[in-house]
Amino acid sequence: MCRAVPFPSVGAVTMQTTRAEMVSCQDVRKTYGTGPATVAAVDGVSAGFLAGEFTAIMGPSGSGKTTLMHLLAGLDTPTEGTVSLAGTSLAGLDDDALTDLRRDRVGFVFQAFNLLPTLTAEQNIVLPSRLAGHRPDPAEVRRIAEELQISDRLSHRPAELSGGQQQRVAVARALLAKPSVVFADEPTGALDIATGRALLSGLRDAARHGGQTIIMVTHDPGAATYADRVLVMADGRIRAELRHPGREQILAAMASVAV
Amino acid sequence: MVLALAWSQLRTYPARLIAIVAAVTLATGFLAATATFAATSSEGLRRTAAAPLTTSDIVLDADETITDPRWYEAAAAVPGIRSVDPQYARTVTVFGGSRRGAANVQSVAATPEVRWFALDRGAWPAGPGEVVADQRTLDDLGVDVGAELTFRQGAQAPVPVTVTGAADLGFRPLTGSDFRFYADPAFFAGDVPAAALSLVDDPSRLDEVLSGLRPVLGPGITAGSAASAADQAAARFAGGNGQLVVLMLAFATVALLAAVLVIANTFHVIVVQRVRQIALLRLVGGRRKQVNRVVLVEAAIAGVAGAVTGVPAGVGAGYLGADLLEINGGGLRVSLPMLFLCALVGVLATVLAAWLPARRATRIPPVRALQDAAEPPAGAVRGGPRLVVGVVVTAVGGALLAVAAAGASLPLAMAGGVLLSAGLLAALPRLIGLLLSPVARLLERFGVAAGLAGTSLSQNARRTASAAMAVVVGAALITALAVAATSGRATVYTDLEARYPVAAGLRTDGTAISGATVAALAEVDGLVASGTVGTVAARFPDGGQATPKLLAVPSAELAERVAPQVVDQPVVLLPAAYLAELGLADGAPITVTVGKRSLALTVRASRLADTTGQLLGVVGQRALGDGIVTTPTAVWGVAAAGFDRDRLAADVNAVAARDVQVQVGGGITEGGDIANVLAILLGLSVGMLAVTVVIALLGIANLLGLSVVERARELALLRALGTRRGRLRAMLAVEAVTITVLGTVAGVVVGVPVGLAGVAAAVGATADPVIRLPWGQLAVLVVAAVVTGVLASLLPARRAARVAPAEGLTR
Ligand SMILES: Nc1ncnc2c1ncn2[C@@H]1O[C@H](COP(=O)(O)OP(=O)(O)O)[C@@H](O)[C@H]1O
Ligand SMILES: [Mg+2]
Repeated sequence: MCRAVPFPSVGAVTMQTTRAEMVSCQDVRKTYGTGPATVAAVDGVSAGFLAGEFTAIMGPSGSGKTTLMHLLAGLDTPTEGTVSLAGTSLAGLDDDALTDLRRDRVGFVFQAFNLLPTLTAEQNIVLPSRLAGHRPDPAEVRRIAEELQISDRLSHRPAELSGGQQQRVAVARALLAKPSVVFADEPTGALDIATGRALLSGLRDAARHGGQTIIMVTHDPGAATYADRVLVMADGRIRAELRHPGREQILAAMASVAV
Repeated sequence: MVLALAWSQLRTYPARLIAIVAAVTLATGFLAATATFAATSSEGLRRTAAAPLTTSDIVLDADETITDPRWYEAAAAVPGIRSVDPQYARTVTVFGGSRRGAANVQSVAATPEVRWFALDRGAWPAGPGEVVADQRTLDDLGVDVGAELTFRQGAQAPVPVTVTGAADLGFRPLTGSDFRFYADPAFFAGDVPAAALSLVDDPSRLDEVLSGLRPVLGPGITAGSAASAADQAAARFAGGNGQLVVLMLAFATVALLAAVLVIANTFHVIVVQRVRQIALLRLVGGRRKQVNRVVLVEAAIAGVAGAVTGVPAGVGAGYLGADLLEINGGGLRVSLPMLFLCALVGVLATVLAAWLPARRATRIPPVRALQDAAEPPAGAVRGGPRLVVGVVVTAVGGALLAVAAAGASLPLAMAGGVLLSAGLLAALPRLIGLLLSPVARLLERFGVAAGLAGTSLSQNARRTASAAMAVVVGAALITALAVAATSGRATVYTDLEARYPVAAGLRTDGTAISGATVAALAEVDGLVASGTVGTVAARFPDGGQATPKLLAVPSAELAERVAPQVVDQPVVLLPAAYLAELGLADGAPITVTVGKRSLALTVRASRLADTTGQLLGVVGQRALGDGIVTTPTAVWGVAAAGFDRDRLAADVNAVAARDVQVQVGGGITEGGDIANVLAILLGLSVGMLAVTVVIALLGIANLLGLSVVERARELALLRALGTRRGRLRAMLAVEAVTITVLGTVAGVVVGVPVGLAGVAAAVGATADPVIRLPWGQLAVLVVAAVVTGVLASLLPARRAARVAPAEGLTR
């Protein structure tokens, strides 16, 4: 069931499902600069992301992937259009409400600089719960750490961890709080292939078994094959949507928008 | 969580906080030292005030209506009274060694138990010609036990005394007469004692004895328990340490201000360096308030560390200060609530200093955690509203100062000074920031290292400016103190020169002055002319207290110089106050009677008539005629303009010390108090220099250290491209020296007008202000700035030189 669908059919995808949309955006635009120098980084995107769905966003460099992700995560405000996250419209939320929403419902994994260098791995993992004033369940922390194979590294500081271990600590942090949505921007960019694959499986498990919504920006077709669907962006718009694509379909879709 | 985060930051980067902790230590240390000094010295001084009353049971006081020198003897007959010792006191002039000066002489009780101090050496005085002295008096006079001295009370005949013993009283009065002696009661023969000290047979029946005593004493005499009198004396004691404490407090405040600047700057740098960490914290759900609290808690922890080291250090320093002044007689006194308050102020100041950086931290958007982009430069400085507000406030403060200087109003000057400082604190960082680009361009001409230094400074303009501000504050204060001292002294001295035509005058009480003294005065350096003055008793129309009793005839040479009006004319120079009393104007006729002869003269007001130590009518020899014989009882000396006052006073006093018949008058006897105050100001400015140097050193070393860490890749790249280590070191030294010199120059620019306005406001009402700048001190200040800059760059430069070239090529 892997086919390239032209952009307007995204709405149809949304209609096919009965599951709730965890993240959605409607006609969002984000422009930078004024006058003739105006750049539309995201130029009218509507998309929905279902609970338990793993979506990869792909596209050439500068196509607006990162900007879209920031808009969806509430880290940036759209010039036009609306975004809602976990059933809440982001428009008009004040900073504290937005922060609490991030803390309680959203997890992040990035290419680099995921962790506070002054805290140990374990302190980093429990940071969002502690910020919320909760005491995280130590058994749960241990279970996740074991799953990600970082149990023996919990008392180390980030500087004493390899890139892959740091990345897995970040994933552990993203999973512990059981956030509804996990955003990942090029999470495998700095990892070797094996470590990267392990991390991607972790994210896929989180979606399949934990019911978490995963939105991952990547330019690696291999990474994108772990996703349930792939959105291909170019010039700030979504140009194609693929469901469970293989490497070949992804490469073909990428090539088609590159022109 | 906030606490854990703050703690983890401190544990990971302890070095960053060294400057903060040190600055807090210094500031709280200053406060605690002031508190300790105040408590210790007042207790010491209180004890001293009460000491003479602690050895007896009853004190008898006579008021001024009592004229019987033996009034106290009635008490001795009262049952239960064991002894009564009269207490005498005289103020005399002491001649001895190479000095003379005012001395307090008190009586030593005949009853040994009543004597309130013990002798260290020698014996108690046993007759009218014997005294003991406190050790410091002997040291100051340069004499020892066994020395022969001369005492002279007022115009009475001088009496010789022998020093038979010395006591270490363990304290020194901060004000009052120079010397202290204790003499046998026989020395005071004929005096009416103002008080008497008494012992009772049975102290437990003191009240009974007192009630038996009171009816026996006549009116004008009161009796009371010595213990309560001692308490009262101690309580009456009104801080001789007050001025010192106020000055120390002012210093502590300035140290606190400079510390706040250093701390604020350090936190600012820390926040900039942590942008991504803070953004990440925000991203994973840290609220603004939590981020804010992390920074403030860090500040509080550093503040507590600084206060905990500063308070004990301050207590030690304060006690040492009291010990040096020998006013620690009561032992170490500290008030725990006061010390706690000092510590609290230190911690609060730290937290306050971190306030703005913490606010800035909360404004970092979470998305910055995701951006790989290099930190944007910490800020080109733009003018902005702060500059405008600062300049306006500065202008208002300056205008107030000018008004205050013109109207000689000290409170207005203080208000103006506060406004000026506030305005400058707001405006100067921006102004310095704006100055940095031209400075950077200038530095480029001095080679690669200087050019790089300039670029780094101007790219971090805001940081550079606030580091310079700590220097500005100190330099401005030092400059203001030094300018006030120098100009104040010049103003007072110029005024004295104008008001005292005779710089030095020696006079007897009517006997002919010794030829040797006249000759010795003529020899004194700094006097351009001297000559004898003949006097004769004369009767002037009664003008109350201001009426002269002598006609004085200066020698011809002297008259030419100081009183040319009297040389050929029948003119008499008289005190202006006297003429005003009589309602006479210049040119009015007056009749002066000498013996049986009447002289018809014309009056003219002149300072010569009342500034040589006596009230005189000054006339020329011709006006007096040949029939009246005068006795040469005085010798006057005229000094060149701008003479060295201290030296002349010392030389003239040395001449006077050899002739017990003479007393000193003229210009050199005036202005000493003001000169002392100004000398203290000058000394304090030097002390302040030390504090400023230390704080500036800490602040700049810290700033450069952080910037070396930040610029590690840039430095490594420079090294990889072939920059020598020495050049990197030079670069950092240039950066540091630029900051200190900029700050110093700005401080001097601020301090000079403030100092001048202070002088004008303080003495402008009585004298025309004279502007004199302490060029020497200002030069020292600039040199100190350069040295401080180089010193501050040493450690960061070592770190910079250790950066490996390869670090620039790896990520
Ligand atoms: N803060 C910004 N200011 C100006 N232009 C921006 C900014 N962020 C992104 N852009 C521009 O928006 C476009 C999309 O950027 P981005 O979303 O980062 O693309 P991608 O992640 O797909 O490489 C690019 O042309 C980029 O230059
Ligand atoms: Mg991107």
